[in-house]
Amino acid sequence: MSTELAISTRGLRKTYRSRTGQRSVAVGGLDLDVPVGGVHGFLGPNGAGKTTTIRMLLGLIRADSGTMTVFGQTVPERLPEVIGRVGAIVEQPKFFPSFSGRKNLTMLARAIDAPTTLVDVVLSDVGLLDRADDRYKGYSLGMKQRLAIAATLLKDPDLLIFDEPTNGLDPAGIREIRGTMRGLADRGKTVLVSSHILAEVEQVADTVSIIARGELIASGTVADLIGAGAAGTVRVGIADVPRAQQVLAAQGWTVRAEGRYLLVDGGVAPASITEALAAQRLFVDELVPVRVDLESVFLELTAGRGPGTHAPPPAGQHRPAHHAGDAS
Amino acid sequence: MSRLLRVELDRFASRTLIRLGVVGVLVICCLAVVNAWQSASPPTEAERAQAQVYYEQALEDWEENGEQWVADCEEGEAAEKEAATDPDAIDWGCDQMEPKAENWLGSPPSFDTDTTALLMSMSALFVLAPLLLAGSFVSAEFSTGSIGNWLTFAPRRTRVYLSKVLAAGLATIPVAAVGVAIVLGGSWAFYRYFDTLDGGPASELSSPVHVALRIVALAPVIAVIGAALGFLVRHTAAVLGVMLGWLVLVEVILVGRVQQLQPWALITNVTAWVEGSTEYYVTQCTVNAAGQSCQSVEHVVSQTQGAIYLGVLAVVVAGIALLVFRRRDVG
Repeated sequence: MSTELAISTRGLRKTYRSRTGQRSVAVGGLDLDVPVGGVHGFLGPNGAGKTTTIRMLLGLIRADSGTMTVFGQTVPERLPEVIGRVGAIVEQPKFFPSFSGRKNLTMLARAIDAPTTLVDVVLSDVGLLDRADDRYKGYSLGMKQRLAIAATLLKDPDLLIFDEPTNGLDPAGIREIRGTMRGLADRGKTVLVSSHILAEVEQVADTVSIIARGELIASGTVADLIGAGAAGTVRVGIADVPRAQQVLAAQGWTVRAEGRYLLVDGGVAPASITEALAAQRLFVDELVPVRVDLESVFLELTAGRGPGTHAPPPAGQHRPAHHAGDAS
Repeated sequence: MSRLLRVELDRFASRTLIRLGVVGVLVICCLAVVNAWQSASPPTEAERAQAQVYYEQALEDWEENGEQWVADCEEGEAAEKEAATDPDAIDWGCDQMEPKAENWLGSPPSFDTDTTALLMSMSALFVLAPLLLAGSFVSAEFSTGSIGNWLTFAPRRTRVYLSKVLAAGLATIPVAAVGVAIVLGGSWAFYRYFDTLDGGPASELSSPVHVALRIVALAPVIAVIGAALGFLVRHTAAVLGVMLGWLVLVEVILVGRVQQLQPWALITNVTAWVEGSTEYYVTQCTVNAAGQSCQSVEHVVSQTQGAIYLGVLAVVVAGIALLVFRRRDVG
């Protein structure tokens, strides 16, 4: 992974004034680093400030304070110099509804002085060539999303920003988008994908940043964030829970009872657990290492942090140690 | 910049709503030519005979009652002159009361006069249409959200703004030109068909052609204002609302109450530009021994004022819209 940054923000802040004059913080001093190359997941609950951050990076809305760079260029001041290297889809794709897909892309190509012959190439890349002359308003959501991806490819960008790209897509569409993102990253592009659907990001992202209430709360590689938790807990199913708890606690391990299960924390090897219990003629029905996924990390980190955040995770799931500042 | 301008001109020409609007304008122009047909056609023999009957009846009445009518008229005129501070301004036309045949036959067809009047009556169309076409052209980008996508390809907002406003202005020129050409050409053809052109082509065409050219020149100025309004209010219906609101609240109610504002009304200045000049009247009242006496005083708004007014208005509205667009968040 490169240490060069595709995107960097420092102290980025944006507030909105409501009709009643009250100010609400959309992004509150965000420090975000997106390395060059690979897929970077930009995660957070709804209302966490992901789209606002992306819009600020693209010069669509003005930051109240803070600094932003894209490939080392300060934005929005020097955005025109770097925008040719950036392709972006912000929320739902928005094109001229009465124009065909081809017409929409042709106009964009002419605006950036790209050869119009490229239009059919990118339409073919996303599998829309046979529907290129249909009106955009007649496209399905998946086709609209694919057209938006085709539009970003007109620039042959080094950085692609996808904001909630799978919203409203069916499973096949989600898989297709995921494949596209991975394919772009494998071709050396940097892909920033914002999402609140963790499972899809986990499958495709190399690094992630998690934000809540407009602040970074964790960042690092997916493996690091999940790996810290993977050292954690083993769930033991056994008939005599109280006695088994005594036996395991006597080994100096942290043991919690949860219904007809025991949860053994601290990275104890399952083999050691079965050995200790068998020595006391206690035999396990079930022995399962509790898998920590990105979703559980995310839920833990964002618990109680503003709109769209979640209640604390169920017992037995691990709280990762990778908060902002100690991320790898 | 020129690249963006060409793309915007293409977009203007390709939008379905704008195409429908242009067709609508041209259809209205074609319908107006029907009016020219009626003006150009000389009265038929039956119409002449009927008019002659009405004229002879009126003449009989006049011979019987004319003296009394003139006396009554002169008595009323004298009474009003006595009360007026400027008696010379009072003229009831008592010496013009005798019936004349042309009162029933109408004035003979005149291409120059009739076509000029027809074009002037259509100037409202050539204000309304560019305003709405340009307003819709810009505001549709905001209402569909495609402006956000566009700015990720062309992030220099001043260039984006200028390309759209200039495109709107330029694109309305051929629309207005074709529209007035239909009216002018159609009218000319009818007068020629009925052989009612009463002078050489140069003298006949001079006045209506000048009005037509001024209408064509007005269209892009109004389109720039419409496009700028589109940037400000971001919805076609809102552009229409602003226009109607201005007409009702400012042009009708405010200017109606404060007559001194008349020279600064939009309608007055548009009329002055299109017609060469226009008049407005301010009522001035004086109190003398006989009581209060009021009279209308005529003032003239020149074509030059109309041109300057419209130019300044376009620059100011476009400037404000540019400042707002440069600073405003795009959702």
